[in-house]
Amino acid sequence: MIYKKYTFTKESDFDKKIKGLKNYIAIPVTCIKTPAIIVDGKVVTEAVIDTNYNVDILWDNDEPSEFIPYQVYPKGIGQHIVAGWEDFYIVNKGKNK
Amino acid sequence: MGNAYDNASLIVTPNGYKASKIYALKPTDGSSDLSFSRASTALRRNSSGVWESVASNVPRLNYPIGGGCPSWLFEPQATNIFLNSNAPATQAVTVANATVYTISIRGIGVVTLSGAATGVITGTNSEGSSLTVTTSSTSLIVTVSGLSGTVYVQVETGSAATSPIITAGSAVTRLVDFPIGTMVQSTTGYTIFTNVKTLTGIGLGDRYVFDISNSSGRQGIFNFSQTNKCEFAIYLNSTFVNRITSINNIINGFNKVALTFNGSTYKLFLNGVLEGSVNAIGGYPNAYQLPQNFSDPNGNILQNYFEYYTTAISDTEAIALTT
Repeated sequence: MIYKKYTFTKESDFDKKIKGLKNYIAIPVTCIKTPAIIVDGKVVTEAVIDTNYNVDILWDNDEPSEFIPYQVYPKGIGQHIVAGWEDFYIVNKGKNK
Repeated sequence: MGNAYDNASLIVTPNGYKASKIYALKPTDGSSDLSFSRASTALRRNSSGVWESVASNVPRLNYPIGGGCPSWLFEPQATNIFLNSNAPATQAVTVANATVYTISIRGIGVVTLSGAATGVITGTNSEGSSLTVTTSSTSLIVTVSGLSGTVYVQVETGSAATSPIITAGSAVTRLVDFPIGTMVQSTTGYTIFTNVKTLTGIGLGDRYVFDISNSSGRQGIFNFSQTNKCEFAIYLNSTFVNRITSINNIINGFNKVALTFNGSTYKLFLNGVLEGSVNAIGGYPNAYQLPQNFSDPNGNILQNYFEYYTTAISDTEAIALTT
């Protein structure tokens, strides 16, 4: 399996690309652009959520070429990871970036 | 009936396993061993009561607090969005509005919720305590206090607290446990018996326990219903045929359930009681999955026995088996 991260403008864009494909595990990721501001235990400003559709995918085999333009390489492992894939992701990120 | 070991064609207990495999106690030739996959690591409670990591594709034998026999732990996919979960500190967690989340603490400490939901959860041991809430905004403030020893805090979607998922600076997903077994197909009748506990407990949604099928499609789904009944939905080649529902409620613990089918009549037994029967035509399975949890957030179970017979055992035998 290989582990990649992608960003699409809309969920429907992702749906079109993934339709008909098999042998993958896709995990949508909520990415936070700006954290909430808390003062005295109360939320004074809600977090700002990235409006893009972010998704982590484990592919059983090679990554389909049509997904390559949507790859992203966030700092470190990003805001989400699948348990046990941290080191694999970092190593392959370095190779493929 | 003799004894279960002699008469059953398939017995699976919390026993032998290796990566990608759960060994059946019977038959011993390997023909009915379960295949198993989980494309992530996961935690289990070991015989010393300590949560420990299990490698990808390795089944989890989970031990109860205080010792005793383990059970298979099968869970759906879940994501912990509480950061630094085993060195917990007060933080604001970004959640989806109007969504069901379960917040849990394992170990000694107190979690107080504010913002998107309110509540107090007191943890006293590694079994943990949890609270299920529906959010009213997008920032959930999770305040932790009184921590002692090893503590895990978890915030996840759905109505059940699943096993701990350790996070650091990012959210972490544990992927679904996916056990699939094979059975010798009988076209004259069959019996299925299982001893199972859903981690969701009682009172929360449908909890799917197992799915049986063959090459023609689904032949049945066994579940605990939203009203805490035990149900078996009968299918013939993926087409719904009928449903048999228990009179009594499931208990908040391990439930002994048997289903018999003699070719024309299904009978459902729960904890030593014949709960009901229906006349219906269904398909004869030769494969099963524990639990049936393709997209079910409540498909989390502890299972410590599964038996399959190629005949419909008698009512007396089924009552004895489930008592």
